[in-house]
Amino acid sequence: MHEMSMARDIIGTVTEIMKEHPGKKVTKIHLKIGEMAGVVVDSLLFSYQVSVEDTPLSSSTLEIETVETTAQCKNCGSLFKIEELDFFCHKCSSPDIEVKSGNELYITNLEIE
Amino acid sequence: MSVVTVERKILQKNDEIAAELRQLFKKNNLKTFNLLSSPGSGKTTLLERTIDHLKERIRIGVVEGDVQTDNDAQRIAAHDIPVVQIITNGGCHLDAPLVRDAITRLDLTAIDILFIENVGNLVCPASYDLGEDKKVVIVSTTEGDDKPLKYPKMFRVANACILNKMDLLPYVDFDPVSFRKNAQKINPELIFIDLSAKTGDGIGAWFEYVMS
Repeated sequence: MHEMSMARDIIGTVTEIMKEHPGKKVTKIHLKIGEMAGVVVDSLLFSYQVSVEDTPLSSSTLEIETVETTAQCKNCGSLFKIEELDFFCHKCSSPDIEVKSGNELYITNLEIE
Repeated sequence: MSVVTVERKILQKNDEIAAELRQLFKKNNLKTFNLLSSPGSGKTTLLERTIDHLKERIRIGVVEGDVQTDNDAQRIAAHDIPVVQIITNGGCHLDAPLVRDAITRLDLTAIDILFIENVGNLVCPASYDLGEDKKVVIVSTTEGDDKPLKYPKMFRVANACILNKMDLLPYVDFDPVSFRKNAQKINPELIFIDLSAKTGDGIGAWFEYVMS
C-alpha cells in the first residue's frame, strides 16, 4: 500500500505549489501514471480521498491518465508496445531495448479556481 | 477556472534524497546492495552466511528494515558487525529519507559494503530508489515460479536475482526453468544465482557477485 504514501506526497507537493496562488482552490489534480509504475490506480484514488480530508485540498480530486508501456529496439530501431510483459523486440527478438514510456509517475497540472 | 502546469515527479523528494545518498556512498567508497523479496525468502539467513564468509576480507554494514521488531537486527548484530534497524511501524517499504536517517548511526568510513535489507514485500519497495548500487531480488523455491509475472516491476528494476532454498527443490513444485524464462522475458539482463543459504550450496557465485 505505498499508494498511501504517494497520496501524501501529492498532497505535500500540491500544498507547496498552492502557496504561490493565495486565495485559490484546487479542483482537480492531473496525474500521469505509467502501466509499469507499480501503482494500483484504484488504491491511489481511495488513499487520496482518505488523506485529503481536513486539508486545504479537501475539495480536489485526482484525474489519472494511464500511459502504456512502449519501447524502442536498439538493434533494429522499431518502436513497439510492450504487451504481456514481453520485453524482447517484437520484430527482431533482440533483448537490447530501451523502454520509452510506462514508468511515468507525474503530477502534470492542476485545475484551480 | 485556470490550469497550472506542474510536471513534477510524485516521488521527486525521494529521488532527490536517493541521489544525495548515492553521492555520499560514492564519497565513502561504499558498495551498496538493496535486498528485496517477499517475507520468508531467506534474506536474513543469506546475509548471516555472507557476513560470516566475507567479514574477514571486507568490512560489512547492514541496515535492517522491518515493519515491527528488531529481531533481524539482533541476528545480524550477533555476527559482530555494525547494524541499524529501521522499524517502519506498518510502512510497507523503505524510502530514501528513512535510510538517510538510519545511516547517521553508522560510521560509513569504517564500512566497505552496505547491505540494506528491505521490508519483505515484492510490490512497494520496487518504486523507491535508496541510492543503492544494485537491487537484488531474492525468491525461494517454496514460492511460486510465476512470481516474476505477478510482480513484474520488481524483476524489471532488479540487477540480480537469487533463487534461494535450492535444497528444497526435490520436495516442491517449483520449476526453475519456467521461473527463469518468466523473469528473463521481463528483464533480459537479469543475473541469476541459484543457491541454498542454509546448506551453502551455490553461494560462492553470490560472494563473487558481491565482491566484483
